[in-house]
This record gives sequence, C-alpha cells and structure tokens, in this order.
Amino acid sequence: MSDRKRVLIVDDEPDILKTAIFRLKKAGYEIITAKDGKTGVELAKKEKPNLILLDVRLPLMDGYEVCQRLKSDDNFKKIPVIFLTASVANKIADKIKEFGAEDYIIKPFEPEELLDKVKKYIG
Amino acid sequence: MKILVIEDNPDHALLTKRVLEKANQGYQVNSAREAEEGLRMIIEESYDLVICDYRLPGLSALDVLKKMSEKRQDLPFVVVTSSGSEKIAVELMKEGAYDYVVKDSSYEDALPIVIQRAIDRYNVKKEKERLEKELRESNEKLKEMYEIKSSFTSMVSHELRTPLTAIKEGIAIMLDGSAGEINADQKEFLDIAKRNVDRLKRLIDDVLDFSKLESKKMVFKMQKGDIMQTIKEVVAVQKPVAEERNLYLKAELDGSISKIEFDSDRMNQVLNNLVSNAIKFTKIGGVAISVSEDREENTVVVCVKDTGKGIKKDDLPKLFQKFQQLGGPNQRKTGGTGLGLSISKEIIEQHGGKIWVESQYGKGSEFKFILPIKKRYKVLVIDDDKGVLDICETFLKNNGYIVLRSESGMEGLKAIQSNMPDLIVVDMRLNDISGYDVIDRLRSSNGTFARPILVMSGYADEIAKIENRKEELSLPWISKPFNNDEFLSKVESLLMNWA
Repeated sequence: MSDRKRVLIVDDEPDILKTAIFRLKKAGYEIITAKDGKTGVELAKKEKPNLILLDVRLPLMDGYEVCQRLKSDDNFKKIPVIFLTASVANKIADKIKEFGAEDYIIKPFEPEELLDKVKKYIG
Repeated sequence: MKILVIEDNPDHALLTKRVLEKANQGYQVNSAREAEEGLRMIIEESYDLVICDYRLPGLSALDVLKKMSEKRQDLPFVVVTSSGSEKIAVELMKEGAYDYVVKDSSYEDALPIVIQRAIDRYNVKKEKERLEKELRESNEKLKEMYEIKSSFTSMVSHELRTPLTAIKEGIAIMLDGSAGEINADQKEFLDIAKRNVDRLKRLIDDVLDFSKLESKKMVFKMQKGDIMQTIKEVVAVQKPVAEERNLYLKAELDGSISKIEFDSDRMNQVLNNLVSNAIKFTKIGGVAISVSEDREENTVVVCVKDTGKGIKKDDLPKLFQKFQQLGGPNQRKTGGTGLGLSISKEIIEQHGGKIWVESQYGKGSEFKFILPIKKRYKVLVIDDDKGVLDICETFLKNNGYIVLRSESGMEGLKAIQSNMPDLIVVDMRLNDISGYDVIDRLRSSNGTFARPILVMSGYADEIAKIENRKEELSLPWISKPFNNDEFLSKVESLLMNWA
C-alpha cells in the first residue's frame, strides 16, 4: 500500500487531463480521473481522494453540484475541492464560498499555479 | 368631429352650441347636463373633444378629469370657467385639461380659438408620446443587442481559454524538461511558442475586459486602501522587465496620501498597462511613477512619466480610443489589441476619476490619472425636537458626515446661508415657521439653490401633503420614526443623485 497522496481530477477535456496527470504524477501524486460530474461524485465517494480538482462545466452534472453533494456529506466534506474554470464571467470567487469549495484556478493557468495550489492543501 | 358639451345651465349650453354651429366646421355636438352623465358618454361613446363647465352640480370639472385619467381617457378637454383665476387654471391643466375659456363677453370669439388650441396641444402630446414610445422600444432593442454581444464575447472567451490551457501546459511541460531533455534550438522555439500563447491569453483577457466594461458589467471590489501599495506591487513586477532593457523604473512616493476607495486588482491592471506601455516606448532613460494629493480638488494624482519618444500632437486624441495603436497598421509590432488604454480609461472613469496624457514629441510622455478622495458631506438637520436632532447627528456622524444642527426654521435659514450644507434635512413642523416655509424661502430668495432637501414628518396627513407637492418641489421625504439604515440610504441616494 503506497502512502502517496491521491488526487481526483474531474474534467471532460482529455488534453487538459493528460497534462495535469503528467504534472501531478511527476510531483509524486497518485491520480484518478473522471470525465463527467456523476462519475466524479461516485469516484470521490468510492476512492476518498486527498484532494479534488474539479472543472465547472461538466457533462451529466456540473462542478458546482458535484461540490455541493460532497460538501453536504459528513464523510466527504473534509476533502479539499479546487475548482478549475475557463470562465471569468461567473464570479468564481463568490461561487467557491457558496458551494463550500476551498479554492479555484482560472484556465489557462501558469505552470506553477496548479502544483502550488495542490501542495498548499495536501503537501 | 364629435364634441360633447357638459353644462348644467341650458342657456349656456345653447350658447355654446350656437357658437359651435357658427364656426361652421361641421361639428356634431351632443350635450350632458351633469358630470356623471357626461362621464358615461365619454366612456361609452367616442368623442373628439369635451367642453365642460367648471362648476357643475355634484361632480366638478376637476372630478371629471380625475375620473377620466383613472379610466385612462385622454381627450382634448376644454373647461369653461366663470372667472379667469390663474390658480384654478393651473389646477385644471395639472389634472389634464388642455385649455380653458372664460365665460365673459369675449366667450363667443374665444371658444373656437381655444378649441383649436386644445386640439393642437392634444396632437402634439400624442405625437410626443408616440415618439417616446418609439425611442423606448428602440432602446430596449439596443439593450438586447448589447446583451447578446456581451454574452457572445464571454462565451467565445471561454471557448478560447480551454484549448489555450492545454497548449500552454503542453509547452510548459516540455520547457521545464520534465518530459525529457531538450536542446537549445528546441528551447528557443518552445520559448517563442510560450511567448505567443501568453500574448494570445492577454488579448483574450483584454477583449473580455473591454466587453464587460463597455456593458458596465464589470464588478468592482471597492475597498478603502493605500494606492502606494498597489504602485509598489506594480513596480516589483515591472522592474525586471525595465532592467532587462537597461531602463530604470522608480516610484516617487509622497508619504502622506489619503486612503481612497478603489479596486486594487483593477488599479493594478491600469498601472501595469501604463508602465508596460512606457517601458515599451522608451529606449534610453526610464520610467518614474509618482503620486501626490491635490487638496483643493480632493483627489489623488498618479503620474507615470517616461523618457521615451513622446507622442505626436495629432495622435494624442486617438490614444484612449479603442483599437488604436500608434504607428499605423504597418507598425503593429507592439503586440496588443489596442484596447489597453481604453480599458484603463473605463476603469478609471468607473472609479469616478479621469485619465489623460501630456506629451511633447521627442521628450517623453506623462500619463496621469486622478481618483476622488471620498468627500465628507455637510448635512444640516433642522428640527425643534432635540431628541430627533441627537439621533440624526449620531447616525450621520457615525458614517463620516459633518453635521450642523438648527432648532428652528429661522436659525436653519441662517445656517444654510453661512455654511452652505450639501444636504438639508428639515422637519415639517417647527416652532417658528414651517418646513414648507423654510423651503419656499430658500427657493425664492435664492434661485440657484439646488441642493437636495429631505423632509421629515411624523404625521400621515403631512406626508400626504408632501406627496402632493412632491412633483412641483421634488421633495423626498422620510417618516418618523426611522432607523439608521433607512435614514442613511435616503441621505446617500440624494447626495449621489445630486452629485
């Protein structure tokens, strides 16, 4: 059993997934991925990752709802959630408060940003 | 044309009918002997004009007009009065009469003229209403188009950002060597790719910012703060860029600048824009940012001064327009959207400030902007009740207002003359002259008195009176007792609208 920290990435863009997986694996994290919101919630509950990177616009269930479902469940609400969004129009800073997420990253992000934020929450 | 004559005196009705026949306009005349009957006829039949006696048994002409306006009936309406009282005339016109005619020896000659005048007025009014409606509709349409445009822009921006994320990350991963060693040539070309992806990102940000600013949708997080802090941040970011080009970048900061309200992220954006422009157009020397306070104008002045080539006089007016880049289309080598300065201008203006440039070609440029230091408004409260004065004073002082108080109307008038307050809060019932008297004297003695007045009253019937006079005097009111929030929101909105 490895003691590596596990990060769940939920994003429907395969190319973005691929770059994020590469980066985080290099940094020593174990990665699990989901390409839609519903699978995201299921995987989060099954695998109990240490952190979730969550895109806002997702098929089947959007990121806000994924976050809300996890944050309203005592078993999972402690898992830090970082939103990823390409939209600067939807006042993400207010949304993370509303849905109880820990942080957000705006796409496109700077190379260090992703790792720095992940490290900030799970080391 | 169908005319209705409402007249209780049969002799007068006959006279009016005769005058109308004599006019020889082919009028079709019906008559009613009392107001109720007349009203029913107006509503049930369609008339082109009503001639109504002022004094009728039961309802008066005024009541008829009121009832008509309740039923949204608008017709050329002429009132026949026995006296030429201005007061009655004004009252009638206010209720929707189009003209009036006095029942005297000139009645026969005057009536046709008055009828024509009423019809003309009615037509002008209808035409005005039609035009206003058209204008409203086309404004609505424009607003809708604007909405579509701005939501389109933000949608496009979102769509562009997603692929850009993958490109940017792909390049970054290769560049940092984590996907394997790269050689010098590969690095050079990846650097080129990275630079241009970053440029593309900036362009998308600019376009989106601009569209948000243009539709006034940008939300400003206004906070009281020290603009010098923001300047220091910008200098820290831009200093390496300047030094790379052998230029200096320095901040000349005066230690005593008042705190002002601004959105620090947006101000950072403006300063970065000005400083990076200055660096871009400077070959020798450098850039200096200074900040000072203009105590007379109550503003903070920020200046970004460079020793670059300066701007030609002809180019100065174009500078803050959108999509403008100096040097013409063949020299777009600076790599922007040409939106930077117009975005800065919008941001500064939505902060209540102003931005401009002073430049001499060949000698460098100075970009300056001013931001307002929040004014401390002076408010005079007039009330003979010391308790009310105390409460108002507490509410106002706690919120940064300067408070003057007067315990009588005469004292208040004196205080207004000597202190020129920005806002007057006056109670209706005072122990010497009434609140109305204060206002009337103020307006008549000094035609230019245009500062806002807030009327207080604790009595329902007085409030009704204020409401009736609201139109002519434009008097906003507040009823006692009120709480802090009610009072301050009135005060603030009055001052805001006035400024």
